[in-house]
Amino acid sequence: MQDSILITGVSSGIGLATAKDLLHRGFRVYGSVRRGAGETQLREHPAFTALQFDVRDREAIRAGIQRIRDDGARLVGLVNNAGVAISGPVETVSEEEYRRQFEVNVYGLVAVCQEALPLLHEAREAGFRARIVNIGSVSGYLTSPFTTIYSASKFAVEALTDGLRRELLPFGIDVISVAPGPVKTPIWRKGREQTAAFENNRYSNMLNKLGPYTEAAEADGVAPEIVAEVIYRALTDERPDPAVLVMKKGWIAKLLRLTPKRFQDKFFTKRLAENRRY
Amino acid sequence: MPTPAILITGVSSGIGLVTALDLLRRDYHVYGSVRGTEVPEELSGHSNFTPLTFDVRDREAINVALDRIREDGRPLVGVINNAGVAIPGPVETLAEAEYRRQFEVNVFGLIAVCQLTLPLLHAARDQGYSPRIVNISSVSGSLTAPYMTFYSSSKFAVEALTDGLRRELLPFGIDVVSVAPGPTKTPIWRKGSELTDAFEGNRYSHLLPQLEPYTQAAERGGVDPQLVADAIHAALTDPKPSAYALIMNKRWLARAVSKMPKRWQDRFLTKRYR
Ligand SMILES: NC(=O)c1ccc[n+]([C@@H]2O[C@H](COP(=O)([O-])OP(=O)(O)OC[C@H]3O[C@@H](n4cnc5c(N)ncnc54)[C@H](OP(=O)(O)O)[C@@H]3O)[C@@H](O)[C@H]2O)c1
Ligand SMILES: NC(=O)c1ccc[n+]([C@@H]2O[C@H](COP(=O)([O-])OP(=O)(O)OC[C@H]3O[C@@H](n4cnc5c(N)ncnc54)[C@H](OP(=O)(O)O)[C@@H]3O)[C@@H](O)[C@H]2O)c1
Repeated sequence: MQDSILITGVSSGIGLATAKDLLHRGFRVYGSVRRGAGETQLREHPAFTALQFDVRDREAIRAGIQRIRDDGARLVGLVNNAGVAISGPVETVSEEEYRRQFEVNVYGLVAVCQEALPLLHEAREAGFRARIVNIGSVSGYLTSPFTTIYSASKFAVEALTDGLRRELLPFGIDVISVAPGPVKTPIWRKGREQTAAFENNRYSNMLNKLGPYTEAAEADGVAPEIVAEVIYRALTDERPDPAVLVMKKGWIAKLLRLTPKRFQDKFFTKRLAENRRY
Repeated sequence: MPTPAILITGVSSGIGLVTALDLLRRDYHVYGSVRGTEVPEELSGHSNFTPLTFDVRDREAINVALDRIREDGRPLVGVINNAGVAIPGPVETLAEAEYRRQFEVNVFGLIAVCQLTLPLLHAARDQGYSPRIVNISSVSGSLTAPYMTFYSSSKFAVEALTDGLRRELLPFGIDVVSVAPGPTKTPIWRKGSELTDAFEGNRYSHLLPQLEPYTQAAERGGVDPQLVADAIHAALTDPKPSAYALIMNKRWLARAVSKMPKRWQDRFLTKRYR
């Protein structure tokens, strides 16, 4: 029997690249999409199965997991990748938006973990290695202004990863966070379109900066295939690093995290003035 | 000159109550939120105390309550986001309603209070004061103990909100800092220890007998809430307060553990359950 991996959010970006990578390496891949049957290359692969669910819909997640169960597949890995990035000042971002940020990135991740864990325990009890890989972010380590709510959700994911790993230690299921810095994916374009929280208020001077700021980050980002490779290693290495930062000059971020907060403040203020992120 | 005012959420007990009394002694006007009609006796008799009634999960109620501050006309120079709950349970088995409540109160409640009070803080700034927001985080905002994962997750989020909001408000002269207590002698652990459903009849049930001793140990080894109140006062008044203050016994240990490699942290933080 082939080892199966469930990845949430395979319609684009990191999820899509990871699904392709794992198929290429001989895994059976269950990938979640919200509409359609998955991107052409995936759809046509015999070892790929699209599951239709929004991570905010527990019933639909359950039906997706049931499909894996019905197939008799051995689930050895869950990659929690589905995510959104809300931008806007904390003061003015709408309640609907900040809730959506947590609904998808936090509650969605928790619901998928809870629903998939019985299958992971089964695989483990049958003697196989079972892992959960959560896609965090450098924003789960450090908080840039105007993506604070996104950061808060990714900080929450870091704690969930550590806590769940500690809780599952006796059961032999490992839980890992793969935290990318900027990656070239559609998430940046989606972010640029969110301007409402900056309009007609004390933050509107930021409006003409948003474009250059996000474009620079995206242009400097790594290819999603690089992140896919790290996810593969997190799923298969004998003893993987439980918290991997995948980022050009990642050492700057790691170092910055150890500096006093007021120093970090100056760093981010300066970067913002230069239209740079890190 | 009108008396400068501070808003504290959750003054019915624990850190909120002690901080309210502390700030009253220091001659502030204190607006303190409670959920029911019961206002602690020590506070209700005080002429500089005004109770506000709201649940931080209810934006409308917060907004209505703030009318009182708007009408009184005192400059609001500080907001202390203290209201919080601590919900134990394994991630795998904790009910959705419970983990949502963890974030509803500690995260969304805090955001709502910030958003609704910021106009008052900006106004105080325009009058020449140095307004501050103090978020009560926790040592769990930088280290995650098993079975307190959701609580920790909510406090990690509070740390990010504190840093981000401070960076966003820098040009407007409003400072935002976090005060992170370790175990503190308050009723919070008692309130949480009644929640055992997530441990019952599942692969985690062997932990049930350990929960109560943990609660007791946390209460015994905890710091006096007055220590936290002192740190909050410093955060409100120091010319350049620390942006992050960890308040606990053996603080060096928590700091050392948070710098360790994760697999070592795992061993350290799961020791008590082995
Ligand atoms: N790109 C970066 O620079 C970067 C950096 C750090 C971390 N990350 C993280 O990497 C992960 C993947 O992001 P990406 O950059 O690859 O962005 P992306 O191309 O926008 O992909 C996000 C994926 O999540 C799915 N998704 C969004 N909301 C969902 C929901 N409610 N239910 C189910 N699926 C949902 C999307 O599906 P739809 O097409 O249906 O919306 C899409 O497949 C995210 O967790 C993100 O936070 C990205
Ligand atoms: N004690 C510790 O060891 C410790 C350690 C680190 C951090 N903290 C943090 O310190 C803060 C205060 O906790 P504490 O230890 O003083 O506990 P506490 O005595 O239980 O106080 C919590 C306060 O928050 C209020 N509250 C709870 N839910 C609320 C809601 N939905 N809306 C409005 N108010 C609400 C409570 O009011 P009701 O009486 O109406 O419930 C109470 O006044 C919390 O943020 C907590 O996470 C505590």
